[in-house]
Amino acid sequence: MVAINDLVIFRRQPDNVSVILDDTIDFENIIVEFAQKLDDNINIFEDININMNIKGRKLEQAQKEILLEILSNKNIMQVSFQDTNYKANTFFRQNKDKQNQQVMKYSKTCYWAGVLRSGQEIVSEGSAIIIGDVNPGAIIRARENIIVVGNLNGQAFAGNNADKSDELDKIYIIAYGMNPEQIAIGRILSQSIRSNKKNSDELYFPKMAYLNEGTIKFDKIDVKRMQFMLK
Amino acid sequence: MSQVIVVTSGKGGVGKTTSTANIGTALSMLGKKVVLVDGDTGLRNLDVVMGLENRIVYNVVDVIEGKCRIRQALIADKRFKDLYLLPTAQTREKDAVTPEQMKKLCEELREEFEIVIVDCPAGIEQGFKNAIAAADKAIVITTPEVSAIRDADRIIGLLGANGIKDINLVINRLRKKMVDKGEMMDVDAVTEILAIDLIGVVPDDEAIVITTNKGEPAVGKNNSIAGEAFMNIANRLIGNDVPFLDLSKEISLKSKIRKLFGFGVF
Repeated sequence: MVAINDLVIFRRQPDNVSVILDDTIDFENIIVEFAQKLDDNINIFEDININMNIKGRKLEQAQKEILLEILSNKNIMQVSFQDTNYKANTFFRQNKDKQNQQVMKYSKTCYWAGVLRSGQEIVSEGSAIIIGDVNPGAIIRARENIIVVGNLNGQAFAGNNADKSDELDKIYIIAYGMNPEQIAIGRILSQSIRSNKKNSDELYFPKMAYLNEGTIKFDKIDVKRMQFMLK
Repeated sequence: MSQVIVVTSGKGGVGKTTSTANIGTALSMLGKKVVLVDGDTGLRNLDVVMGLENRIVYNVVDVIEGKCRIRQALIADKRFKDLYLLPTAQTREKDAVTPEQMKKLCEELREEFEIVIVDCPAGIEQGFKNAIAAADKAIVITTPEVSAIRDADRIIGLLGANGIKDINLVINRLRKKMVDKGEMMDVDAVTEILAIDLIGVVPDDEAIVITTNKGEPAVGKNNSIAGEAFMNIANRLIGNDVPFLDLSKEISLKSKIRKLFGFGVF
């Protein structure tokens, strides 16, 4: 049996990072140690798509949420918890067994159901999904993508404050009725001409706006293009 | 069971005061005990449109400041049974009243009146907040114009945020001829954007100009199509199912009336 002095151990594995928590000590001490170790090991988390597996201790929901809160500040998005108690020296084998894990995606998507009226604003740290119309004078700001299941007649700004410009290539704005007052991806504003004519069939066809060679292009929605974008 | 209704729009000049006067008068003609409260402190107009400006002694601000009792400030309209006006002050401003005071006042009015209608001022600031403070339901007035609709949309959002979910729409000053030519938005275009229940469409009518200047609500006259529309709205408010006016008959109605009365309605 390996004597472990540390309350929290971080281990970098081929496809994820494991965190082993001591199960004898009070949770409060664990939190402190956890935050500290997180900072110490910050170089491990350079890769944005880090998968973190936390185990070694049975955690209550509230405790899990506290850990998730700490992790979300460091942009660690994918966290799983292994509830059963594993001895330290067997954890390599257990990692490959995915069936016992509870995967919780810590997502920052904002949802809005109903009409978004003039003067109302949605600001999302992640993506934004609106199920309803977006009226003129309403604004959506999202760090990532925007999807409007309805008519987009207001303003939509996606890829807001995105850190890297190559992230913007994956950002899209989808609307079932694409007729925005203003639309932007990152810092690039679109030049689309807004039509007020009701009899245009073009207007009420689902469309996607995305960046291509520095300008915003509008395409009718196509499954192939969506798959290409998501890769 | 009393109700407090606020008549609002956001945009100025679309017909809130005119609608308040006419709908209120119509409701009293249908047998309800009604009080009209002017919410536009500093720019009061409801008294003028009702033709009662010469009888104002006390007003809402006096009541709130305790200078008089509500009874003393209420003006009974002698032309219509059970129709009262509670005017506001012309010499004060919107900050003379707070939402809490307004709420307390409306609660007192509820005890005596079946329907309390508050005429909301234009805008979204203090005046608006005061007017909606005690409201159970709202009537949003709009004209079929882009700017009015934009403001109405904002107002609807704000009403929802303040807990008023029973909202009805009145489209005012519709001109059928222009709609047919495609120069003005039609009813469907407006309701598609605003997405709330439509309670009435009032056509543009010269009689309104005449009657508001004279201080005689158009519903009281039987030669105004707008008056007819307001009466229909009042009926719908109390639960009577009334079909919408067929505005395409306007022109023939106009010529009929011209013959009968010798003056133009349009």
